[in-house]
Amino acid sequence: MVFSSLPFILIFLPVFFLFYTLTPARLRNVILLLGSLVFYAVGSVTYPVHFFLFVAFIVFDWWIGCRIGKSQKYKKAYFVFAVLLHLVALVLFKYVNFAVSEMNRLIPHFDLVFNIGFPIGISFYTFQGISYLADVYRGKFEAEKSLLRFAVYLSMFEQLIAGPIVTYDQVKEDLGERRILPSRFLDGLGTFIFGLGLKVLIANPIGNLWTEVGNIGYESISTPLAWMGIFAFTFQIYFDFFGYSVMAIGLGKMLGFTIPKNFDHPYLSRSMTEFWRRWHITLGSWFREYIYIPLGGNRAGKLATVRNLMVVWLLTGLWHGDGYNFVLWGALLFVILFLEKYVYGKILDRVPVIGHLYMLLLIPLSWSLFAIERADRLALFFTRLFPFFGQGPWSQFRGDWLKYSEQYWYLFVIGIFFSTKLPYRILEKIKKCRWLLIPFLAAVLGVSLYCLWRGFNDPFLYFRF
Amino acid sequence: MKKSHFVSFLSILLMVGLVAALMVLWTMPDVLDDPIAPPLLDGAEPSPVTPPPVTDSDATDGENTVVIPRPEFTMQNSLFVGDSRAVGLKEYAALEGVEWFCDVGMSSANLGGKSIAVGDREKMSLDELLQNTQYRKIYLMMGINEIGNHMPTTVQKHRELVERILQLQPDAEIFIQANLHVSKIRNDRGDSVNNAAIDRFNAQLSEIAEQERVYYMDVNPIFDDATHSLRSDATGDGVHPYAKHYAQWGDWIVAETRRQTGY
Repeated sequence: MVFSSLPFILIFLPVFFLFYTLTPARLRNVILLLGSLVFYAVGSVTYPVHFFLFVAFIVFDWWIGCRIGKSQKYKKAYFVFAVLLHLVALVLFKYVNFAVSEMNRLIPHFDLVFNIGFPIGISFYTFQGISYLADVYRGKFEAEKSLLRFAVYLSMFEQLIAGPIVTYDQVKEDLGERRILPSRFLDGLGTFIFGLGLKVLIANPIGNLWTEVGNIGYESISTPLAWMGIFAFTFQIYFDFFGYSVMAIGLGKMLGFTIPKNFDHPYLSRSMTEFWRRWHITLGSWFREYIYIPLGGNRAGKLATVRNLMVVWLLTGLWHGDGYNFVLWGALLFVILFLEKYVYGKILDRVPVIGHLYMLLLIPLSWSLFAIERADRLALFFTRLFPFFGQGPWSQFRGDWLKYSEQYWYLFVIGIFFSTKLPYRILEKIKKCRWLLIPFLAAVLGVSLYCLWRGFNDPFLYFRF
Repeated sequence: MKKSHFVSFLSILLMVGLVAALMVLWTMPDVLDDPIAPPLLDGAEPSPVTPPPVTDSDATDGENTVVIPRPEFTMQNSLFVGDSRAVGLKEYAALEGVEWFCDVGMSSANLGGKSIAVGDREKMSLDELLQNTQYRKIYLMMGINEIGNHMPTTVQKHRELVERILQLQPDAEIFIQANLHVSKIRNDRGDSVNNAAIDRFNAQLSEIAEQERVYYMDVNPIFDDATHSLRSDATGDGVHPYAKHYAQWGDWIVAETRRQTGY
């Protein structure tokens, strides 16, 4: 189930919260677990195996955690075994379909029909499971003795499908006891509605432009339209993922948990280095905490630092999707970050204008590698962005960019506006006045539900995770 | 070199090698098992020609037969009436001398309410346009946006449209276009937009053409794959061809027009 869908908002949420709020506090974890399992089951109805895999991992991770806690002698073995199992499962389910399709594509007369499906949320629950086991292994906290509490941690539906990646210590206390304060519940509901608006009212509509550009075919678009298209994607991916994270935070508040922030105005960054401290923050933290620092971080000399950065960014690329372009995107990010760290980073920090202009180009260009999976199509798209040879900047349809500007200009304005801090400062002020806040939220909710009902496009880019 | 440096160096080398290998695989062209499907515009069977209205004039005045030469073939003073595919043709087919009364989502059901600015004119309905501008050729292409409606009603609306045009423009040649198939993937979604329904409707359009003695054209053989669906490599959304194909489609329309009208 996708958060931005009518079944979730109009059926699941009301039914779930009816039970959740009316249940005595000591049974809330049971309700939350049941609700989350139902949520996952509905999402994996095409491949029931995925559901059992998920439940198996919950029990397995809990058991391994307990074994690590109890056995000094074998704790390393338990830990390594568990991590390997997780990684094998992740790699298998994430890449086997792609590997087979590539073999079909490249090996003559090889034609295997094979599809094991993609377990929703596996990228997230794998990382959360590994983080838990690593923290128990290094003694950061004791293993969770209650299977129920651990199961709630791994499965709670607000962060299961698309993050944020929550580490166990962030919710440990709340797993034990939480009271539902009406003010907090309503605050969470408002947050959820705002996140819904970001996704349905900004990401989805502006994403349509990128889809249209793809349907026209890159060979037939003018240069202005190509740039409009990639900026449309740039806004789509941000508000899609940001909106989803805000919805997760809102649901967390309604449940009694504090879910960490995942985005901090990333498009205001002046360097790629800064960008990755503001974009998908919990992923960056996970890689830093569980890969970069254990490998030595930047404390083992320059060569080792470069090696560690390379490992982190290739894995980041790999994590984002099953396709060459994702790993190569990770490699590209590494190159950019390397250059910023050792070559020109200081200029970007010292002269903000240069930094902003640099990012204005680099963000959409790096996203194009993320957005276009095929090498030939990507090359074609680049010749449209930079039309210095051959066709020139125009297409058969001279006024194409004018036509789409007329249709989409206001979405770009909204996208730029919501990339700054301004609307959020305004929102903080509105929050203080109930007579402004409630109509605002009601409008956002109403229009969003209407758009969902009418079925305007809804590709959730990060849902492959 | 210290051991740790060596390890780091080796790891970096390995990772660079991996990235290089992935880049090679990424840019490797597809290895096709089957021969490539015939290129578009080749090998398509001509659609059956409905008897053309008489255009040659053979005037006889008693003993001498005077043959009035036919005017040169031209697409000037042609009008296209249609839906988003007609919009695509308008934007990407570079058909000279053609005017367009088309809109995304257009159908015989909503045609009456449409007010469109054609050429330099103000916005007006199709009826008004046909009352004050005479066209030599009028092309109609609609149906996909109403394929889920009650078909006999839709067919009747199309018939009435043809009759109205004949009434307003008795000298114009009318060309009814078959609706384009959708791709197999789109077809297999199992809703009302499927190729069986499209074929049924197109057959009805062909009958209207015969009964009203106007022309009928079917471009589908050009774009079909072996399953009589729109070729999946010719479309992004399964319903509209890529813009680059509209030029070919436009050329085909002109060639087919010539063929059917005896040019």
